[in-house]
Order: sequence, then structure tokens, then C-alpha cells
Amino acid sequence: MNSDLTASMEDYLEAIYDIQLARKVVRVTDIARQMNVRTPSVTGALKALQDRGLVDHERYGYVELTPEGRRIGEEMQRRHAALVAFLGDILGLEADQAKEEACQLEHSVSAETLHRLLCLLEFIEKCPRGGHDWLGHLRGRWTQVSCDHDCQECISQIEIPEGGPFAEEDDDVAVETLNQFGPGFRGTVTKVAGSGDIRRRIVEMGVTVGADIEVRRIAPLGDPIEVIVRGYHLSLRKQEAANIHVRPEGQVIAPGRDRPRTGDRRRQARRGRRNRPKAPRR
Amino acid sequence: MERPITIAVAGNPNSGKTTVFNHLTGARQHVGNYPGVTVEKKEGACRWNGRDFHVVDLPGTYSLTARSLEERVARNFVINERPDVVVDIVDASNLERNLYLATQFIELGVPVVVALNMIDVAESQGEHIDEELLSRLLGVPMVPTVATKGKGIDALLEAVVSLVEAAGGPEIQIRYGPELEPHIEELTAKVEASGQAGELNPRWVAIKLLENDDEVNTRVFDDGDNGLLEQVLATRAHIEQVIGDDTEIAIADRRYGCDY
Repeated sequence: MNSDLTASMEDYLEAIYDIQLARKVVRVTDIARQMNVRTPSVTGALKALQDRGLVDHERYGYVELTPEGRRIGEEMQRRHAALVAFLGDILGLEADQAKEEACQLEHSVSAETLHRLLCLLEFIEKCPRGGHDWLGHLRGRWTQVSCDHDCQECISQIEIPEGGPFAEEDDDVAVETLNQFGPGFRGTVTKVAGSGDIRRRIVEMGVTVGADIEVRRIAPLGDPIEVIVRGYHLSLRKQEAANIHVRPEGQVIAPGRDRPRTGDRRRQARRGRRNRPKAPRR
Repeated sequence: MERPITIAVAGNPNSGKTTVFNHLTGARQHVGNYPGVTVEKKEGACRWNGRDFHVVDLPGTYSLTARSLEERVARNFVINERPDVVVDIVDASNLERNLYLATQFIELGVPVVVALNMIDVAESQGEHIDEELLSRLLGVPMVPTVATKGKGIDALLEAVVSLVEAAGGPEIQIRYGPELEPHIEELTAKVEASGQAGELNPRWVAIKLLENDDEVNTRVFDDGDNGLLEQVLATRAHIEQVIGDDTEIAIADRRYGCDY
């Protein structure tokens, strides 16, 4: 993309962008940890990026992206997510391999190729002949190259769930999750999504379907979130709260900022749609 | 002379376990580690009403899964060392979550006395706890205490002694509702028939197998195929299909008494 930027510089911008999203401030040590390099290497790279006007960094201070640096970082991240989704969800590669190869491809793919790849992803998701079954049939090809099926027969077997091939995922975009609300919110848990030990722990702590839940307060940077459930206070990370689906109890009556932040919610929905080929990153 | 009674003091973090422990043992404490892990093990002794007690302070836990170190330590102590009584210290101002752990001990089938600690806080919040009713519902003795003031400690020890003399575990089973209960009972019978439960409560083993508990899995399945594995997998798959969620989640939900 930017002809005078090396792949490694692009990686740095992407990493800085990433960290900035997650923690607001970026330190040299954060970058070193994320990229798995030592701090002197980071300092060297930052110098080069600063010379190109892409980051602001004062010695021992926080690292900040300039508007141009931010644009490139965002673009790199978008490419990465799209490529991971393509390699993982469509081509069915293992998650680690998909990430690894996406890291290499993201530097060489042209903007036009990326655009068309995104179109393909969206097409597969939205086209009624796409969807999980279609992908299932495609996967059959990894091992068996030729297909002697009668296509018409194949197509008639594809069941399209109501609401489109990816209906269940669309549901997820529309639901209201705990992280979308501000202090004063009261409601009922309708689902605890997610997986693994953290989900089990959350349920064991009493966040079960049907439990009443109330948002007490939110830390200045939006994380953690203090809730009241079953009469006690529980702190949740933003990510954990995003997995808790809720049904608000009537309209929340609270002054000013304490109202549920519908703007946030709308923004969230938009973001969800834009990042449709969403893939967990690193 | 009579053998000392071993008491394991258990409970959620911050429910007052250590306060109760300190009240019981005073300065007669001994701090060490559980073998192989850096979880502190506090032991002490006391004498009350002519009886000797050996008291162990278990790590604070919310549940008894095999997923965290503290929970494994607490659970294995109860399973392997077989204390005469588990005293579960419950924060009375936060009953619902605290009783989740109590259900786990009851399920394990060990003798349990529940201390409704911080009863003064609960009362100042305008709550009234009918401990007799609660005790009847859960099948274990309940003793209101205020550990910081030493209130109820004598009654607690009295309940412990009478439980030991009666030599009985809880008489109540935690029930899991119409979708799960038949499967749990079926699996319990299979576990019992297989002889794999050993000295453990077969119903507890069956539930833990359904919860995919690592340690119980190892214990039951390690010496080869005994026909149980297939049954467990089939039951889990069936439950997940019917309920549409993980079996562990369904079980945890029902422990909180959620009905569907």
C-alpha cells in the first residue's frame, strides 16, 4: 500500500492501533509485548515512523498515532481481519495458521484485491445459495477435487434458514447486551453467550437466564462494569458484559448521562455490520 | 478419650471463614501449605464442652469444580481427608450466591452445618431469615452467627457435635428439574453398578461426569472403557439438544433454581 513503508513498519502501526483501541494509551513496553520483540527494537522502529510523520513519541512518554498513522493502522487491521476471516471461515484453515498467513498476506494484497475479497465474503454470507451448507459443500472439495453431483439436486438440498443463510448470526447483531447500557440499567438476563471456563464461571456466580441484573457503575475507561445480580456486586469486564444478553425492564428513568446510551448502541450495531467478516484478533 | 472431631471451615471468599476459624482456635494455629500447591493451609485445635476439635480453614471458593486451584484443594480435602463435618460459612446478607456452594457440599454427601454469618448485617438490611425453614428445605442444620462478635459460635459447635453423634449426611438431594433429573438418576444407577464411584457418592459422580469435570473423568475413565463413557457422552448430547445449551450451564442454572 504505502510504497515507502516496510512490512515491519506496517506491523508496528497495526499493533499501536490495536493497543490504542484496547487501552487508550500506548507505551513502548506494550508494543514490545504485543509484537514479541525487545524494547530497543520498538524504539528504533518508532524513530523511523516518527520521521515519516506517522507517530508522535517523546522519550519515556506515551506513543500516539498521527491521523495518517492511524489511518494506516486501521487499514492494516481491517485487512488482517478480512484475511483471517477468509482463510479461517471460508478456506477452513486452522485459526493459528489463518492468523499467521494473514499477517504475511496483509502487506502484499492490493486495495482492489482486498475490496473484491470483502465482496466475496459478503456475497457468501448474504446470497441465499451461500451460507453454512454451501460452505460445507465447498469443504468437501479440500479432499475431493472433482464433483460429479447434479448441481440442481445439490441446490434443492440446501436448506435456507428463515431470515437468510446466516440468520443466527444476524440475531446476535440485533440483541441487546449488557455492555451497551449505562449505570441505572435494570433488566433480565436472556442468554449468557460465549464459551469456556469464563462463561461457566459467570453462570456459577449467578448470572443465569432469568436473573435480574442492574448496572451500578462503569469505570472511566468503560471497563470494568459493576453490576448487581442476586443481591451482590459483581465486576465484569467489558468483553464479559458483551456476552450477557439482556432484556431491559421498561424504560430507565435516570437523569442525563445515566440513560442507556442509545447512540452507543447504534454505533455498535453499525460497527458490527461493517466488520461482518469478524474474526477474533490475536 | 474420644477422638477429636475434624471440622473443615468452608465458604465463599469474604464470608467470615477466617474470623470463625480464629474464634474457634484462638492462638492455637498452625499454618502450612497443602502438599504440592502453594495454597495456604491453616489448622488449629480447640476444646469445647469436653470435646477436642481439629479445625482446618479451607480456601475461600464459590463452587467446587475442578477448574480452579482453590476449589480443587477444598474439594479434595473434603473427599480425601473426610472431615467429620464441613462448616459452611454463609454470608447471610447474600444468601442466594452463598448457598450455591452449600448445595455443592450437600451433593457431595458430606455432613454439613451452615453458619448464617453476618446475620446482623442481613437484619439491618431488613431481611428476616427463617433458618428453621431453610434448614428443613436444604436438609442441613443452620446456625445464625455474628463471627466478629463471637455470637453463635457455641451454637455452631453444638450443632457440629450433634451432627457427629447422629452420624448422618444431608438427607436431601438437590433436584435438577424434569429435563435433567431422569438422566441424572439413570446415570447414577449406572455409576453405582460400575463400582467406579468407590467411596464417593454415586449421584455426585454422575452429576460431575455430566459437568465434564476433569478430575472425576480421570478417576472414572482412567482404567479403560467401562461402558460409562458412551452413556455419559450420549446423555450430554441429548441434554444439549433438548435444552440447547451446554450441560454444565444447564446444571448450574438449575442449582440456582431457575426453572424453564
